[in-house]
Order: sequence, then C-alpha cells, then structure tokens
Amino acid sequence: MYTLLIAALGRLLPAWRREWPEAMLAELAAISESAPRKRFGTGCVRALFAEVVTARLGEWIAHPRTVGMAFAVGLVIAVLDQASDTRSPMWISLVATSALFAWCRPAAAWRWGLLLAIGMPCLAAVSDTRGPYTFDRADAMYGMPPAILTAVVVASLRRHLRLILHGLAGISLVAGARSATAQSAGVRRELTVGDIATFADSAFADYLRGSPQPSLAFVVVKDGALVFAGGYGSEDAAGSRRVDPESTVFWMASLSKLVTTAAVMREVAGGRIALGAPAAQYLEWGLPSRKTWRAITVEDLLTHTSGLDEPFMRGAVNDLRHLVPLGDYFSRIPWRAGTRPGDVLRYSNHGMALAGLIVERTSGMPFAEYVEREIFAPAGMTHSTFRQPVPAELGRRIATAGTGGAVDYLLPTPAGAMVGTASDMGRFLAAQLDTADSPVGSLRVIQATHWRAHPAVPGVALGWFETTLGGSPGLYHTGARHHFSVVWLAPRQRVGLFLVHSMRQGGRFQNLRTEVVRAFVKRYVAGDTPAAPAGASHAVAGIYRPALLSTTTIERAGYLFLDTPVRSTVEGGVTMHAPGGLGTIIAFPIGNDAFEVRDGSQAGLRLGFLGDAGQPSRIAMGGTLLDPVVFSRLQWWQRGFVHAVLLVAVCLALVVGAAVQGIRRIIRRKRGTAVPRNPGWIVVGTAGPALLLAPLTFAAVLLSTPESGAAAHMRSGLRVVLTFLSAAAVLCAALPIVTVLGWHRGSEGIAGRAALGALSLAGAMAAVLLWHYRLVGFHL
Amino acid sequence: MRRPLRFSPATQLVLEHFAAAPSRWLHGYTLMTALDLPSGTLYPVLMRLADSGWLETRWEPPAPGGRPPRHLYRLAGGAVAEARALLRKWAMRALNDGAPQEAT
Repeated sequence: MYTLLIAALGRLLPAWRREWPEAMLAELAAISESAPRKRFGTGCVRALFAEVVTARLGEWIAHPRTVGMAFAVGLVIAVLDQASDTRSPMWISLVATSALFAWCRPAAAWRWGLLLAIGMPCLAAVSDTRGPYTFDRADAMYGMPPAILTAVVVASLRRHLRLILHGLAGISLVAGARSATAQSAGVRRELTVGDIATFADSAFADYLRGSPQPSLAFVVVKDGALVFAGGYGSEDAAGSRRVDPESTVFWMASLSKLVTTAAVMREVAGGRIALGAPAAQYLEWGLPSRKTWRAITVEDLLTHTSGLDEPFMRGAVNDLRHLVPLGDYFSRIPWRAGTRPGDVLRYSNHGMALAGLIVERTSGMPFAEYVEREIFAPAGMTHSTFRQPVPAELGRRIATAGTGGAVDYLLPTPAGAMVGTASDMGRFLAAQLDTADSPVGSLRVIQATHWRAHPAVPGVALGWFETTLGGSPGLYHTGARHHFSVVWLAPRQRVGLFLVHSMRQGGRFQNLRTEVVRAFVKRYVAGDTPAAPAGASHAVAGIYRPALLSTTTIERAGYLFLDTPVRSTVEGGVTMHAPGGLGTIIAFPIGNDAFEVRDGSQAGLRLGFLGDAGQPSRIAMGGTLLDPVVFSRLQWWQRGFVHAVLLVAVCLALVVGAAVQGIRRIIRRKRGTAVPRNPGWIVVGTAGPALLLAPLTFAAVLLSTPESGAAAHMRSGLRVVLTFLSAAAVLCAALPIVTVLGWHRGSEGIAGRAALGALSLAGAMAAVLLWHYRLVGFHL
Repeated sequence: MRRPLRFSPATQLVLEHFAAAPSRWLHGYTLMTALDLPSGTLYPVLMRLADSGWLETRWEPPAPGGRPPRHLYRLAGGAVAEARALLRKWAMRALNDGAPQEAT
C-alpha cells in the first residue's frame, strides 16, 4: 500500500522532483522487516504529501491576480444569487465563468471552479442569510461540484481539442479549429501526420545510414498544437533504445535563450520589468558605459545589441564545485564596454544570461525554479529543466549516441543550460503560436522586428532571429552544445518545427538543419519573401572583420585570423571568403547595396552594405540559419593579416637575434676572447626564448587537448602561454631603453649598435602588438 | 550552488552526520536509523539540502535480482569546509548559551 501511495503522490509532484519518490520506493524495497517498513513508509507518505501541497500551492500563488479575480467573481455571483428569486442564473453564471477561466488558464483548472463556487458558502457564513429557497445547511456548497467539473472538462477539452477533432472527423491530425480554407492561406501542402512522416523519412534517410547512428528527433507544430513528433536513431551509442520524442532528453543549448526571453516577457506582462528600462536598474551593480552612450536596456540584452564585451572562455566548468549561482558568476566578471548599445549585433550569451538574472531579481526566485513554474508548467513541459546537475530522472535519458557523453556545467545558465525532450520543445514552440493564453508572454511583441542593420537583411526579434530561408519569412534559433538543434517558426502561417541531433557538426551533418528547414518550407509553406527595396549598388570590395570576439581579453587574438575579404565580380555581384568554415560565398545584387546568395547550402543568405554611398563601413549578414553577424571594414593597417605577419617577423627577428648572440658568445669563449656584457643583448637573449616557447607551448596544449574537459585544459594551457608572452612583452618594452643606455656606455661596436637598435624597434613593435591583442596579463 | 537555508535542529543533525564522514555515500534508511529521525522529517531535510547545493546525490548501479537502484547522498565537495565552519559556529553558540552540546 505504501508503494502505491508513494507512487501516486510522486505523480502529483513536478517532474524535477520525482527522483525523491523513486528514492523512497527503492529504500522501501530494501527494508525487509515489517515494522520499520511501516514506519518508513508512513513518514515518506507524510513528507510527500507536504511536498505535493507546497508544490500545488506554489502553482496557485503563481497567478495571484487571476486567483483573486476568480474569487471576486464568485462573490459577485453569490450576491446576485441571494438577491434573485430563482437559482438558475447562479448555475448558469457559475458554469459559464468556470468554463471561461479554465479555457484561458487550463493549468490546475479545478481551482477556478473551487474559487468561483466558494464565494457562496463564504457569503452565507458572513451574512448568515441563505436565500429564500434554501433546502438545507449545505445548500451553499452545491455550486462546487458543477463548477469544478466544468473547469476540469473544459480544460481537458482545450488540451485535447485537436485530438478529438481528428478522431471525430477521421481525417489527418490538422491542428487548430480553423477551417480548411483559412488554413490554406500561405500553406502549400496540408500538414498531415502521414505526409510529415514521409517527409521526415526521406529527409533523414541519408543521415541515419552508417554507424554510429545519431540520436535525432523532429517535431512539427501548427496553430498552437503539436501535430507531429518523431524519434530517429538510437538514444545511446550501444543502440539499445530508440529515440522517443516524449522521453529522450536532449541538450537544448542556445534554444534556452528563447525560454529566457519568454521568462522576461512574463515579468514584462506582470509590470515588473520594462523592456526599454536600463538593465542596471534591476541589478545591484552598474554596467559599463561611456559618457556619450545611452544606457543598456533590457531590450538590448534580448536582441544581442547591448555591445557588452564578452569573454566566453570562463562560461563553463567541469567540476560541480565550481558551479556558482548566476548572481555570483556575474558579480565576478570584469565587465567592460565594447560597442555603443544598439549599434552592432554581436551574439551575446552574457546579455541573455543577464536578462535571466534580472528575472531572478524581479521575481525573487532562482531562474530554474521560475521557469519551471511560469513557463514549463503552464506549457505542459514536464520533461525540461535548467537545473544543474540535471536531475537524475532526466539525466538518465540524455541522448549519448555520437557525443561521448561529456558533462560540463554552464555558468551563464539562462543562455544555454536547458535540457528537455523534443515533445517539450514542441509544446514551447506551439505556445509561440497560441495567442489565446500563451505562457511565453506577448507574442506580438516577441515576434516583431526589434533591431535591423540593413533594410534588405533579416533582423532580430526578441530572442529570435529573422530568416528568409526557403523563400518565406520566419524566425529561428539554433543550438549547439553537446547536441545540435534548430527551431524555426513562421508566425504568419502559424507553423513551426524543431529538429535536434546528437552528431558533431561537420562532415555530412554540417548542413542537416539548414537542408531540413529549407525542404520543409518548400513543401509546406508558400514562399512570399518581400522583395528587397531597389537601389543602386556601390563599390563594396575590401577587407572586413566580423564582430564575433571579445576585444578586451586574449580572445581578441582570434582577430589575427578573421580577415574577411570581399571582392566584386564581373557580373556586379560579390564574393566573400567567410570565416567559420563557410568557404567562399558568391552573392548577386538585389539592389540597395544588398546581395543574395543563390546556390549552395547558404542559398538565401543576404549581405547588406551600410555606410556612406560608395564607401561602405559595415556589412550585415543574415537570412539563413547562420547567426546574424555584422562585419566592419578595415583599413590596410588594421588588418589582422598585416599584424600577424608583423608579429611573426619581429618575434622571429628577436629569436634569431638571441640565437646569433648566443652562438657568438660561445665562439668567443672558445677562442678565449673577452665577451662584452651588454645589457641589451641580455634582454634579447631572454625575450627570444620566451617568444619561442609561447607558440611551442600553445601547440603542445592543442595537441594534448582531451575529449572531455577541453575547456579547463585549454584555460590552464593558455595561462602558461600567457605567462611566457607577458614576460617577453615586458622585456621587449624595456629593450629600447636598455639599448639606449648601452649606447651611452659605448660597450658595442657600430655593427652591434645597429643590430641592437633594429632589434629594439622590433621589440617595441612586438610589445605593442602583444598588448593590442591582449596577449599579456594573467587573466584569460 | 549553495543557497541560504533555514537550519532547523533536524537539518543541523543531518549536516553534522554528513560532515563527520564527508566522503561516504549514505542511504536514506541508513541515515534514518543512525539519526533516529522519522523518514517524514529526514526526507524533506535531504530535499532542501540537495536543492540548495549542500548535498550531492547519485543513484547506485542497478543491483542483481531486479531490486531498484538506491539513492545515495553525501556532502557536496565544495560544502565540506562551509559545513564544518557552521557546525563550529553552532557549537560555540550552544556553549555560550550554556546549553548542553548535542550530538557531537
């Protein structure tokens, strides 16, 4: 009996809490004697009951206004009932309002019935009048059963309306109560379970061949309901369990940002956050800025345009002991201003995580708990969490095929720590199309364009990126941490999809997400890309740099290798040798300084050139599933390539100088001639080896990077490299001074002086370049 | 990821027991008998401690014979020093209050 009771109470707990009843059941099974078993079982039931009540009470309190409103409406009905001659108006109003509340907020609907009907006994107790037609003392309670029953039936009807319609009509599982004619607007082909299954089978067939098989899941939503959820491949590397979209858990990675956006919008709806308000207003500490810049707003954080300089190397830890709360993580970050707020889009994990921290501050609840209560519970996402470590119930079912099952913990949690099932993500996506009572906040505000660099290039909504992939406007976000995913949404056609797989990007899996979304749009969604505004094209050739990296940490050194040449073609188009494994893309003019790629995996990608006519200063790139990027034009002296060549040359000069001087000293010693002790040469002799050791150590670190714990390994390795470089930079900076002092002493001949003078210049140059690329210091 | 927690006498007792052997993994029932706490008191304490990052939990590997794997608990690695400091503080307070020191 205890087993049954514990299991039943466990079912009433939120998903992330269910490992506890399981733990109790396992303990109970291990106790053989009857008396201790009874004692243990009774205690567990008591504890679980208290947990259930606390959790459910939490749900009630989650919507205090609606709860209060339901009670107030119940009281009004009770007053009307006492004033009227007949009971019919009471029955009708009670059932109708109960149905209305349950339809609008179907989660825990029975409470609406109870709250509405409790008004009558309350009023009867207070006023001690029970109306002219009272039969007995319990009469005032008679409203409760029909009110509660109506609420439960209506909520369940609302949840299963699509299924019921499907069953009744015997037709395909078309979501939504809209008519077929209304549905055909903008939809090319009817979304039926059979047709989507055929589409998915053919789309994934090539990817599922061979070994190892990926874990792959695919979900389609329409009009606020899940219409298709399929699992493909195996959940684990051994192939012992097939992927189940309802129970196989995937890392949602950056798709977490959409949930974070939804959380912020819940707070906006509650009046606790204003999108246009300075973000610092909600925090105990300020954000970096400059005098002439405006403050960073919450909206900037949700559109990746805050301009905050973001080092990302410290974002993940392998050791659970280093996992700290969000507030602690942020209070330790050396915040630095990057670019003017709202000026440039630079994909920002910290910006989004900061938005999550603001939700923590305004709600007074840890982010993971807030999301469970406000987003996951109302949307029915019972197998999703932001908790780290992942609760055992979900952790056991994380897809591991192809990933190696590495585990790490993310510190800016709201930016990417979510795990969940494919069906759960489908439910979240459905809520993005469900305008009746969306737990994700105001869809109109979320899905509008909030930032756009160029009129012809898709911009950014709140949390979402805009795309025109497949020839139809849509919103999307991709995720890449352990697993690789994409959500794509066409709000106008009210269709969306979610795809996730476990195989490392690259090789044949490189373009899977883009190909599937493009094929889906082509098959089911009518293309209606708005034409780009016409205008003249100008000379755009030049060298550009993508705004991708932190400019205040060692990550800046990445810019040495990120020069992006853009050249004009004879047909009037442009070629761009894009970074990130994209290769060379060829784009054709579509007017107004904008170009579009026509063929290949990135067909539909747009480049919009900004700045003065004839002298563009920036490029905005977007339109497919690549995260949008802004490139800045570089003058020749700003190019990473020029700096890299210069740095290698001056370092080589110093290394060679040190080597030559060393050999000279050895030869002189052997010959027995006096070796002059010139401090300049001593500095060169020390700086040279330090400069040589730095790249050698870096190569050793790269070669010895382990499969798991790569980030921590890189961090400690880079610290050693930085130490060598810092020492070299200090010596290089000192070299000119030491050399000049040496000249005064006259301890060197003309040739030696000239050589040391040239090396001093090289040293000064090396010091400047090392400092410019933040290759000095001890912090990463 | 330790959050502030209200330390009831039962929580103090449990924390003290874990701090005495921080590396040992313990079962719920073992704890219950060792501390003579009813499971209805012990489990809520374990839940709160695990939620607030004081405890780490894991599941035993499945045992032969189809018995379900049991849940194990121990003090989180980063919480040992903090737990000992807290225990010292409580002991000092108990001494200052003149109350007899419990369950050392």
